[in-house]
Amino acid sequence: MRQMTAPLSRLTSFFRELGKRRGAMVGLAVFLMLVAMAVLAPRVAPYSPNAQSMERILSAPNRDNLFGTDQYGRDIFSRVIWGARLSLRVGFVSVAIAACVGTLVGLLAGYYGSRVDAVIMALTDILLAFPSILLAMAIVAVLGPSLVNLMIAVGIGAIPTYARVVRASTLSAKELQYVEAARAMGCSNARVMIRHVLPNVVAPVIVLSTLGVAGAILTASGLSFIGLGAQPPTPEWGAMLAEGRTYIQDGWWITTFPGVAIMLAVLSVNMFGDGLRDALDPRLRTR
Amino acid sequence: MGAYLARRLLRTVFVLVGVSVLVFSMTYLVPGDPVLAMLGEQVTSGESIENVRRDLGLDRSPLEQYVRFLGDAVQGDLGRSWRSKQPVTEIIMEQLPATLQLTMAGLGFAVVFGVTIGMIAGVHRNSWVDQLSMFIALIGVSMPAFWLGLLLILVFSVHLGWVPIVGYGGLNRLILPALTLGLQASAIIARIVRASILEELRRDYVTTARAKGLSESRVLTFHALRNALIPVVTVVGLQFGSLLGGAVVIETVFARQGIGRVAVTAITGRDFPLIQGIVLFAAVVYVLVNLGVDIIYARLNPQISVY
Repeated sequence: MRQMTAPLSRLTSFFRELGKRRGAMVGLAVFLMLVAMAVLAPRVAPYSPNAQSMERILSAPNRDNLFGTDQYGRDIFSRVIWGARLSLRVGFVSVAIAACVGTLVGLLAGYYGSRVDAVIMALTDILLAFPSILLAMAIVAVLGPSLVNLMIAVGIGAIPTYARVVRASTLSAKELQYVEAARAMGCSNARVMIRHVLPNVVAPVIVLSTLGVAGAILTASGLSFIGLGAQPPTPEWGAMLAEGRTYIQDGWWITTFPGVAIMLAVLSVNMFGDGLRDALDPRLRTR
Repeated sequence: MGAYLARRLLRTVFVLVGVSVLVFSMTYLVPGDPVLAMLGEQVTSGESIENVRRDLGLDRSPLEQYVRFLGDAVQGDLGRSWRSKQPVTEIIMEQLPATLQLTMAGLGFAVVFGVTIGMIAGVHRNSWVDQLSMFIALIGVSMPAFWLGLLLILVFSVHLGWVPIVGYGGLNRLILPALTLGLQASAIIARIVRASILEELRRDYVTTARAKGLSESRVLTFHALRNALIPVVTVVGLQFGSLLGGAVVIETVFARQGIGRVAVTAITGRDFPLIQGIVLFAAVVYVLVNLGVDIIYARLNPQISVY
């Protein structure tokens, strides 16, 4: 029973700590709203995202089209809502790729040390030698431009960051007495790593992943904007901006609303992530 | 210091070799035959495909090809573009001034703006000035640069007509792109400067300086700030890379010429020698800049040579 209360009280104190940060709560609320929008897109969007209307080409925001329409008469409000699905999916999937691979690789490097460590860290050094957007571009160049390849590219680009952080946490967790005890008792390496070391590296990975979602949404929309990600007529926010920029002189609304959507998504995740970092680990605060 | 430098140089050489291997293997990772990709739509007989393969040296072993690739690259020969048949090095050198101009202008703006905001926030910590500055920094970090660029075009070019919308050349065509490119970096720099000032103010030497009866402004300018700015050197180095990458997107927004736009066309046209050349070039520049930054940092901060 006593064993149960310790982590439980830590969890409640964490939530209390997090709840005190108003910025984090606002960020979380906005982000959950965007998630709801993405999930309920078919129900909340008033029009189909690709429905064109000749009579409504380039009309300013009005009662029928809250955010106005674009050069094909498509409803921008509906497209922004559908776009939430794509942008959030890109954010989550690429972070999942980076966090899973990065954590595994970092655990192995930190736990086994010596040669395994040297090889893995050398590889991350090489990956970090490329400016991140350029690395993503190079991967897209190899795989070909598409939304799926974009997720892979952004994900691979972020692996070194996770690997390094997890490695550092693993190195310090390995020295903990109960981890040493587990090893001395003859637990298998895999068991020690998963049961005893992994829980110690989860906190920084959660913080990195949260902030990583924001970064991934930014990078992915940027790559879609220059034509290396989602292709038109996909209602991805970056691709919408790319399609609309030719009509920038015809209406401010075409290039304004998709951009606001990207910023809201990124801002809300950043606000939540900052609060999460402070609540989980005050030592990380200065970074 | 000497040992640190030697180890750092050795690591740089190793990383550069790794980078070249990765860039070289790009053509092998592409699904399909590179020769067919290069010849594109042209219908060719099997014999001429074999000729092209031999001309490019693709019939040799991968190791042989890599050694040749590396040897040529070290001498500044990055091959020829599959599309324009122009030497890749020549294309890069043609486009470099425009990209470099944009990157440096963006970096300059980011450092000046970021350090100023960060200092103001750090000095007035926890006041409304601090909170406002940090909120602006948060917005700056969260704003997609290409969208900011579009908004600036919308306001300053379309509505106010103050600066030309797009293109390259002249200072008035540089202001908006540089601002756009530098904003995010300036927000990151501002946050770091602030955190670093707060950390320095907690140190013993600051307490000593205060105990000596120095005024708060003297403590700040002559003691805390000087040390607080040391980490900025590292950040600037790292930001140089992201600005170089960011320039790729910004060049598209403002329809400026430059390496980034060439890279985008190369990727959509599957012009591999050009893509490889640009990626290799950018990575080498980035690695060397960070090497320089680390050396400067080691000189500024004698503690580092202990490691």
